[in-house]
Amino acid sequence: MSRRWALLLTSDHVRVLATGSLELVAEVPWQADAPEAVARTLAALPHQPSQLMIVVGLAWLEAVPLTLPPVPVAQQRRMLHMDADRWFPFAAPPAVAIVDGVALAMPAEMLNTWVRSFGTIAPIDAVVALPQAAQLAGVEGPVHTTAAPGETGVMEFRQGTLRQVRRLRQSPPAIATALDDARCAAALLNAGSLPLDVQLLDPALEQQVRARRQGAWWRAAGIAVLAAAFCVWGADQWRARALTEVNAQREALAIRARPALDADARRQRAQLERRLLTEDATHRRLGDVLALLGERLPADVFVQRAEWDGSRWRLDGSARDAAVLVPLLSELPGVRDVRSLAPSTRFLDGGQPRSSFSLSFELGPSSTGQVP
Amino acid sequence: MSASRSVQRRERLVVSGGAVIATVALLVVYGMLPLWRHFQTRELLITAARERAGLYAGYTAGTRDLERAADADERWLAASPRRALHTTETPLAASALQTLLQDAAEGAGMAVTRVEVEPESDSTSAVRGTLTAVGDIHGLAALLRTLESGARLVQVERFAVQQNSALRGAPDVLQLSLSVRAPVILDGGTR
Repeated sequence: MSRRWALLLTSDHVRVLATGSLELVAEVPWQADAPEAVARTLAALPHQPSQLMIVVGLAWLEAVPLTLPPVPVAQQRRMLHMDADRWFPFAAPPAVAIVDGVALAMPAEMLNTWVRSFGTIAPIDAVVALPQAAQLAGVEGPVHTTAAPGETGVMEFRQGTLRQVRRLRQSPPAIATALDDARCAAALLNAGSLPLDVQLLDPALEQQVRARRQGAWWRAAGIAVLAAAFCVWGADQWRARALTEVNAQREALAIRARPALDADARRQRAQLERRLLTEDATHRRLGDVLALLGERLPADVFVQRAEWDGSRWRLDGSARDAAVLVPLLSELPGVRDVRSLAPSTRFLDGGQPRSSFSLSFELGPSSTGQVP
Repeated sequence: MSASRSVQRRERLVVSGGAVIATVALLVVYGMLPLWRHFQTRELLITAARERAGLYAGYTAGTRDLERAADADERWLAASPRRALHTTETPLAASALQTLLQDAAEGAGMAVTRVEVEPESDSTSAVRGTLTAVGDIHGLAALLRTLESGARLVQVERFAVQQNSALRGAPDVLQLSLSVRAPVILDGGTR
């Protein structure tokens, strides 16, 4: 967590408060027209901050009630800047904070000098007027605080709204209580990053702070992108290494497994061949089928053509009585679906009548379970 | 004046919103998706390599069992009177089948008129052959016996025999046409 300081600028002292404590870190006398000296003193203190918040006390502020059109604060600030001598008792360009219709202003050149000087200690995150810090701290009712020498600053808050800011050359009203600077500083330090609209700025300083904030955002975005890219690159390297390792492991195992792979290839080849031989042994031999037909068909049957197409047999030829062949074939073991494929033609052969046949049949599984 | 500024602001918003959407789309399409695919592909490679390594480890652990099983199967085959064709390449098997068919036909006394062999067109390791021959019934029986019960595994797939019409008056001369398929065991290859 960053360590922040709030520098409360009174007329003759700079009070320093740090985050996480209500105790004063330091209270150093200063001269508003020579802020470098106090900046050097503060820079020599231990536990230097990473950010600064400057709280400008009432000694340096002119408070003017505003009657401006309802436009954004940045625009109101530009309007006041263009016409400063009409609103404020000084002619120099003002740095302005606008709180609940009250403009709190001081010469911008003086504020810029302070910002430059204190900026040598740490980057300045915000510049606010004391009434804004009191409002952040939730101060209610009239309060008084130190202002210029011989003056008392009086502020009045009602329900969180700033009603009045005055500098008096007399004692504060009896009902006003003393403002607790430490409480205001603590509220400011805990408020986080304040919007530019509620800060005490002139347009140039506002532009400068806005540019610095945007630069910080861009830097953060760039760093985030770089970090993400680095993460992706790291993950890529990690997985690439994992792939290399697992490939190396795989190759080493492949070398060790070579004898097993050879044995497995031998086993697979041998099993394939065994299976082929076993299947072949279950097929009925064509020679056996031809022998069976030669044995069972009558001696006068002349087969002119025999054909087997892998599933069905076809016999073409002639016999003395072709009509008996169909029932004869049907009775053979394993023979089924006997069909006559062509009409039978009768003719005389050597004075003997014969008839042609063209038969087809299928050989199913035989009694031994074999198929042709 | 104020309305004009509002319109300008809205236009700026639309343009910058479009630019942001286009930039994000380009980043997604040309940056994140290729990167995602790159990672996904490599993860698949890693998974496959791990599975392969596990497979090899399993093989290594089972070396003795595999060798024992292979030896047992090979002993069974060595005792078998009939074996499949063994070659290192399918064209060699085709050549071996052609020799086998010619030798079987000549051994059976058949006169070979045509032999044609070719590797099977699908991915199985087998060759097909077609034989046309002329001979008598005894030669036919001997040829079928040699092919169907010989030393090499040959399956007869089609078969046609008819009286040779060109040789009328010699009824014992038959014209034979048969198609065979010979499974081939390719030696020397491991996965």
